[in-house]
Amino acid sequence: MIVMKNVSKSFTHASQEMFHALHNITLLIEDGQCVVLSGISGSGKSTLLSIVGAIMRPTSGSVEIDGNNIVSFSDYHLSHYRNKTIGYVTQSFHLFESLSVRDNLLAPLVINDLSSSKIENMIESALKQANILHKANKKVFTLSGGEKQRCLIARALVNDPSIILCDEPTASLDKKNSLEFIEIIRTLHKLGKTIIIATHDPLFEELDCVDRFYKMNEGTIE
Amino acid sequence: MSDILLSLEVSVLLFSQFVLFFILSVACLYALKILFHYKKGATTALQYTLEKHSYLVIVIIQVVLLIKILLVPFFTYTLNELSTIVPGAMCGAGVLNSNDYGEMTLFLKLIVIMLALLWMVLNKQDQKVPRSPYFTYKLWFFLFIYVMFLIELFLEVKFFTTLSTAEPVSCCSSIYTQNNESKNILLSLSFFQLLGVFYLVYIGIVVSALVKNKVLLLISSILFVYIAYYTVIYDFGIYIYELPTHKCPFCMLQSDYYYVGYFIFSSLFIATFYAFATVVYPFVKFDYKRIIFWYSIFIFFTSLPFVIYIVKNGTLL
Amino acid sequence: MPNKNFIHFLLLLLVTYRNKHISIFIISTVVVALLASLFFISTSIKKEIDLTLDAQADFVVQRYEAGKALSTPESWIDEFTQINGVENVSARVYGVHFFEPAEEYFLIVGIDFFDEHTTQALQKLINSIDVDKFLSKKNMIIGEGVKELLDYYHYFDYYIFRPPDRGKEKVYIYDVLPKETQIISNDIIFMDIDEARKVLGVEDGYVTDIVLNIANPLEVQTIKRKLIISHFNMRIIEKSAMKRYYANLFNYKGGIFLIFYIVILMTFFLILYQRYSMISHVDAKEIAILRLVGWRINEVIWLKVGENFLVALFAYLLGVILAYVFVFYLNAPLLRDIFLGSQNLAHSAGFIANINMEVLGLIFLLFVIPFIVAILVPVWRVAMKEPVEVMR
Ligand SMILES: Nc1ncnc2c1ncn2[C@@H]1O[C@H](COP(=O)(O)OP(=O)(O)OP(=O)(O)O)[C@@H](O)[C@H]1O
Ligand SMILES: [Mg+2]
Repeated sequence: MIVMKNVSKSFTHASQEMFHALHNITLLIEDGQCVVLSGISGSGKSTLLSIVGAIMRPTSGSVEIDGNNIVSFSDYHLSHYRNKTIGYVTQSFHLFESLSVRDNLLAPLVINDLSSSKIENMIESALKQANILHKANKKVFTLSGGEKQRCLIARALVNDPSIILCDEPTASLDKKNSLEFIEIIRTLHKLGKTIIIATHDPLFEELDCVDRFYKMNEGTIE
Repeated sequence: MSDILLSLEVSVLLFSQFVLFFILSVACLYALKILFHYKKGATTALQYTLEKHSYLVIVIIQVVLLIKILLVPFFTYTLNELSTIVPGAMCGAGVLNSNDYGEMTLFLKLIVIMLALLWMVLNKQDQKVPRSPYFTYKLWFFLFIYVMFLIELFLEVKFFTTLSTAEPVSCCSSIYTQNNESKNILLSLSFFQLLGVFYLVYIGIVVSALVKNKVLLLISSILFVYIAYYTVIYDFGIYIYELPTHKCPFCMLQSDYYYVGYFIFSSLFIATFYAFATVVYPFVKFDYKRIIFWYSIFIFFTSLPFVIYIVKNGTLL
Repeated sequence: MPNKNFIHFLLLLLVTYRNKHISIFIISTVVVALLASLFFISTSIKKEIDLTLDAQADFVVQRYEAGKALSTPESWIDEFTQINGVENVSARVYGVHFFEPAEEYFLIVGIDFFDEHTTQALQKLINSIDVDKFLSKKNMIIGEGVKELLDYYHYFDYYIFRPPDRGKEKVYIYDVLPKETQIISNDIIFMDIDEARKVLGVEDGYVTDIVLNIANPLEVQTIKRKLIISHFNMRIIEKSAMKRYYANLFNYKGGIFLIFYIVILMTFFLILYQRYSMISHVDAKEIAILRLVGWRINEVIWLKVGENFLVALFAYLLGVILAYVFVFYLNAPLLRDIFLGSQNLAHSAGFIANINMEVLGLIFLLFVIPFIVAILVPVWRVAMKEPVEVMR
């Protein structure tokens, strides 16, 4: 369960003035829910996801995940938490372009003490779930946008995390690829993963698998 | 410039030490900065930045430790090499004892490595537990190691600069003869008495490990290092060299004796490290098997040449 | 501690993004090759001196009066032979001849063909020639360098020495020093001992010095004392003292080079520091991805340190191999002249290939330690960058 209490985030811009990207957000997401955050550009969706995904710390407030306030974690434990619990599908394709799809999936795994066969199995099943197994040995830079997206999803899944975060997953996909992505989300939802999607794609508005739909505006949830 | 400083080995050694001094000083500055600003439990951005700064200190001490472990055999090798230009010295022992700084330098080198290893244990625990309970302790501990390193460096420079290539020195044969240091009670013991004491203390360690008594373990392990050093020189050494008059802790580090000295001293070092780590830290599990194992490895390496000689020749030396 | 999979991933990144490291790799290789060449040359010369000295007699005895070495009476030889524990006593006649036209010195060494010889090198030389034929007229055996000079001044068959008594000594060139004798001196001339006396102006019944060996090394000091008691006007040079003298002389030369080299090294590491401080966008992105998927800062640091360690290691290996080829196959053009002086007639022979673990270890320490230390701070700076800052 994710409990956000009074979470605010502000940035100091170059002109020294404070810019408030998030305002006193309080939000509760149950395990296994699929939540969509929508809103115009600049409304703070990515910032919120980064805070849940533990790559950014809020300026104030607390974020409790499974009973632990991750805000008080040291970087050492925060990284560990990220590695074990979060699967992050980023807005742009953050992948090792010159490595193969399979080798990209090694990154979250090699820092853990796992046997080679275990790693092999985990990669295989993640590739299958993300429907990219047939391109496993291709270098990432040779892939199409949709395939890169699925590679990102496979990497997010490979550690079997309980929370999946997707930042604008369909922004650079065509209709066909977007629908395919939604299929993957549907299966993940059935598997009981907690899913948070930040998007302004209307495609998500009438989805049956979405449990909650939040609209963000200037750093607040309406 | 003195002849000693111009020898290749010494200049490489000192150069490496000054490189380490430089990087450790960087770490020291960061450690001071962190200690100055750090507030336990605070969740400000500054705290997280300080935590990140601590990674520099950690990686520096880890790298320095690795390098220092490499440099110890190089140091003893250098001493053995210098024995060719220091008149009278036959091996490293003569060079090391030719002035007042040599023995202290070597001793401090080992101390610094031991402390750094203990530091690593503390650091690991500190990172393992959420909220870093030992965060400031480990930085203070680091500063202490830094000071010890400075003393070591000072002594080492002093040692090499005062080493003379003109005055003849005495070597192992006369340094380690019994009557020379008769104020030491251990040396008034006969061969078998010393051996007896040695095994007795070993048994003491095994017992204190089995009953898991930290105080006993501390006392017996310190006592053991001391006695083991003399037993290696006066009892086991002569069987390594197969010569009743050859008493030296240095010659056994040379290839002529299959580098057996390195096995002997490093196993003693590791055993002592485990004993100390268990005694010092409340969070380290009392793993009596590991402690007994390493002390027994040491016993094995020391007793091996002894046993081999007796089996081969059927008599004592 | 890094596990197998971590190392596998490290190698994967290193191989895939090898272009990133290529410039550092090349410079490092050059630096190591330079360093290793210096070390190889110096240890090789050291070895040569050691070999030469090992072949020498234990004691060299000279008559010494008023601080000057004088000719030593031959009668001492028999006296010394009487002393217990003394072996292979023999006389030596040698000296330098100034070759006016080229302003060079030749070393003239007289050999007593009917005496036992203290040095193995001489024994080898004698075994390799036909003694009767050599002694049938005034003959000499000359080093390569001497041969070259004499040829240049058209002394193809003989050379006329001008002894101090204003006479003329015409000596024929019997042969050039055979290579297999391992006498590396280029400027040497061997001739019969009586002929050498004439050429150098040593009176009959006198020699330049007397050499002898000691059977038991433990008796060295006792015998030295006995010798000194027999004649006060003598100086004894011990082999061990010679060795120490050469070792010190040698360290002196080597040390100066090392200091010079360390200056170069420091500059190099400054460049290295600069290079790693300028982090590229690719680097930053790579690290942001790793941090995103849950790598800790220390794991990122160790990845980078590992990569750089491997680059340094390969540069080290390649550099050492290049230096080996340069010094022992190509005979170190340019560098040799710096080290020995290009006018050094005595040492133009090739280098003896002599590599041991110690030299390789020294080079390793001298290069790899500062390399790793130089990158620590920049690597840490990169690793602690916030991933979100990079990803936006
Ligand atoms: N590191 C930062 N420094 C300064 N300002 C930032 C930073 N990160 C985000 N912001 C600001 O915070 C606001 C919210 O950004 P955020 O990326 O969350 O928007 P978003 O809703 O994801 O928009 P989009 O749909 O375009 O992705 C923006 O106005 C942005 O300029
Ligand atoms: Mg966004």
